[in-house]
Amino acid sequence: MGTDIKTNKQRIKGKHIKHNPNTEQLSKVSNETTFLVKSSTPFVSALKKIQKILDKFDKSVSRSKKYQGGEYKKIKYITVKGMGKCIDKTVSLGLHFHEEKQHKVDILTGSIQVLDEFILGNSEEESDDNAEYSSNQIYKKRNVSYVEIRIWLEGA
Amino acid sequence: MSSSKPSVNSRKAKLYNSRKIRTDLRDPSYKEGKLSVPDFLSAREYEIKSFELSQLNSKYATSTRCFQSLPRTLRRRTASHNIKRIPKRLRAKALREMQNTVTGVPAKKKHSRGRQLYRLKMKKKLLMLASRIKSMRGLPESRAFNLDLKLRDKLKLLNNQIKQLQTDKEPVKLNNALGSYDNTGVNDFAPKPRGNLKYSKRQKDFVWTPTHIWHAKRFHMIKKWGYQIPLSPSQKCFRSVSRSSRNGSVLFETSYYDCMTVEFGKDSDKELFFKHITQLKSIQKKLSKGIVSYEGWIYMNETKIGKGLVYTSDKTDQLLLRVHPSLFEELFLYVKNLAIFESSFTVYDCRYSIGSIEVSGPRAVHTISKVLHLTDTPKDIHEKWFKATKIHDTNVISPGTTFAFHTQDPRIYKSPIQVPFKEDFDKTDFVIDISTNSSVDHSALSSLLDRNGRYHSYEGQLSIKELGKEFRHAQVARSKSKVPIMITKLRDTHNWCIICPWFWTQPIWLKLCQNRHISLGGLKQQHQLAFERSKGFYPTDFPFLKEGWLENNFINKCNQDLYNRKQRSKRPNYEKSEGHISPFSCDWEFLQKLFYVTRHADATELQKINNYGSYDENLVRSLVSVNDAMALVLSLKHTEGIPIELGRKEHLRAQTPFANTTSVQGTLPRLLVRQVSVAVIGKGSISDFARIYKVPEAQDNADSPPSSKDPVITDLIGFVTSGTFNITAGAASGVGCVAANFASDSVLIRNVGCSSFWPARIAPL
Repeated sequence: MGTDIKTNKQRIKGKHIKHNPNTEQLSKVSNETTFLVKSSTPFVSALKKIQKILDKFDKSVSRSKKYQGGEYKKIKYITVKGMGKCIDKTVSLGLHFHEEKQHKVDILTGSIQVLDEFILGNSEEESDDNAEYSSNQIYKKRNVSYVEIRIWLEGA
Repeated sequence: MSSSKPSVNSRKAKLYNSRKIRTDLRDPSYKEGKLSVPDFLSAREYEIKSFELSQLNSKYATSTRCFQSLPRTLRRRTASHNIKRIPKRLRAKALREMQNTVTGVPAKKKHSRGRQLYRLKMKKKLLMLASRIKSMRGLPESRAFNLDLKLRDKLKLLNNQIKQLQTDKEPVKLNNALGSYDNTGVNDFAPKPRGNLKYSKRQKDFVWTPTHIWHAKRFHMIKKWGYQIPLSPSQKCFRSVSRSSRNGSVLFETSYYDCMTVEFGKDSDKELFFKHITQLKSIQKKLSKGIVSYEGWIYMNETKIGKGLVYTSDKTDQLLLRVHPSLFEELFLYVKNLAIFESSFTVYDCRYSIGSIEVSGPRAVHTISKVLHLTDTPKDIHEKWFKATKIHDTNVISPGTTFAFHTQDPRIYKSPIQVPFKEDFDKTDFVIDISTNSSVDHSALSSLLDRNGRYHSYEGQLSIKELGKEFRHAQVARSKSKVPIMITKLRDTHNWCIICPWFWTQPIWLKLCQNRHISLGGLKQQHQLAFERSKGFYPTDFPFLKEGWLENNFINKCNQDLYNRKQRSKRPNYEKSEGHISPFSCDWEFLQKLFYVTRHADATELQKINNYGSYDENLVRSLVSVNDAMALVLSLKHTEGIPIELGRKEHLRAQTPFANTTSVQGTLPRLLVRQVSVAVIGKGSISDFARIYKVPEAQDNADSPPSSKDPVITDLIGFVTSGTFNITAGAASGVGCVAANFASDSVLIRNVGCSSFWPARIAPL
């Protein structure tokens, strides 16, 4: 996630709160089949986590019937998403599953709107506790590119 | 949740055992090829009997009652004998199981006789009279509730009242069949709500919240602050509540939070009061226009007494103040006697006339919207509300955002439904819009804050019976009621708080509980969620306030009693690990004395090796070693009152942790503290009352033993008020207080009764 606001010439001084672009509630199934990559996600733990999800819904091994029938029947791939700074990591995750694990992998790109909140401090006047009520906030929209990796399940 | 059915194997084994028949193999009756039948029979008597017994055994061994196979959430305490506690689909089976096997009819219950029966009959009569009065739109006389009258006198009283009502001597007080009325105190405390006459004695001292009966069946209740408050569900819920606070919603009934409204003649007075109570230097437009609500510290005589909610708007002359019940009475009297205003003002005690429900979690608005059906609301507010339900992120909509609108009676929709809104809209634009423009319908707001408005909202409130009729006759059920409701997002907890008239709380609550994928919580769950967000929970995590201090003392006493009740051999040896600090709670008094003693001496310079005490010529002990410091601490008098105080910004990181070093009338000055959240670095555990030490400076001399790296008692800087394993973080964390002048962020934590120290990081709350 880039911190500079390139569209604005002047840099806004103040506390910067970055809001999550995922404001919509995902359905139960898509919640379980989506993995979001953060800049703080270690590469190997992401690998392990994704492998776990893949194993959970694996069609070729009849491990547990719970995740094969019903609403889970239609699952064909799992989604890995990363934006901004993590695009690199996300793509290498996808390539790992493509090259090493021989999964079919799709890579989609796009951009998404995120919201930046700036709290302009004049907290000198007020005591610490009431700083929120004495300061102004500015909202700015920003577009960030993202990459979405679809790792297809074996036998799907 | 898995039902606790015994596993298949164990059931099989049980069945197999019950079929095993014991046999007697010796056979003396069989002699010389002839069988003597009477001998044979008498010899086989044991076998035959055990055979019959085993038949019976195998019949009953695996027999279970049908309610035993229900999931835990559907099981009820009285399901074994009360058919109504079992889901409908199982009732026929349950009835069969319940029947007496001999005659096929359930056994008759014994009924009471004599004096007991008489009393029951009289009680029934009393209730009939009370409900008669209610149906005649009168309130049963307050004397029947408050005075300690005999049953017969109460009957007489009510009979007289009925006569009066029949002759139109008494004015009609109720405007509905349910008995809802507005119970507001004007410039005075409101009388306690009476409730149903049948249960009036039990709610005399501790008021029942509107959903008390619902909660009492499902929750452990606690009597506190003049209310009966739900403590925690009787079912296990620790993990499920945490999970649904992250991706579902959790409901809390918080009607025990006390509201007051203040009505001003002049707008300038209102602003003056707002500034006075919150100590804000200026009231911003978003606060005065009612776009956002204030949730933060409330001040009395310029000292913090606790946190509360303040809300007002430019189109109303009322101001709403919602605080914790432990603060209310003091604050009410303080506000009533304030003499800073130009014109007259009125204070209304709305403790028992405004109720509230808090909903936490990302789906909170979504859950609420399925139950509330807006009516007579301006189109833009309607649309904003619909849009807000589509946002499922707790952090995006800024805290303080407030809605107010009229809704229909929530009960006329049989089940929760999705809002009819499927438009696509730009969510970022919406967030910007909602934070800059008001979403408050002022007519709803003023009728919520005004006692006549609340009274009118009860007009024609349907009883269950009338509601049933409505469902039977009309195609679409209708109700005349218009319920004014205010919904605001709280700052600390990120909960959405529904504020509504007292007698509408229960209908809304019951409908909210029909939602799927929700969790329910009490006080303990509120504490748990606050802890998981690394926020303080009032009063436990605010030991510098009066209520927190009392709570700390109370916990101390409870734990001490528990300890004393144990056998001597089972008691942990605290003396070795804790020394003179109380192991049963946070010992703030000790910390205060310790800081007072060591304020001039540099703690690192104190010798750690046990020397003899040294005295000067006046026989005053000089501070040379740690032991000297301890001896001085123990020689100090017991502190009366609260030993600590929350430091202000200018106090923090000052040279001395005391605001005024001069002792007043022989008492020690209060130690200034600041609230912090604690998280361990790497391995480690934190429990309640864990001690926080500063990291001792590395000692250069190599000959000192390695154990000297551990901090000593003079390095103590604070305590953890609530700490445990945090399942959202996956590591131990806590909330506590440390001395205000401690500037670094790395500390060492030691749990009560332990000798190991865990490195941890502290951050301001």
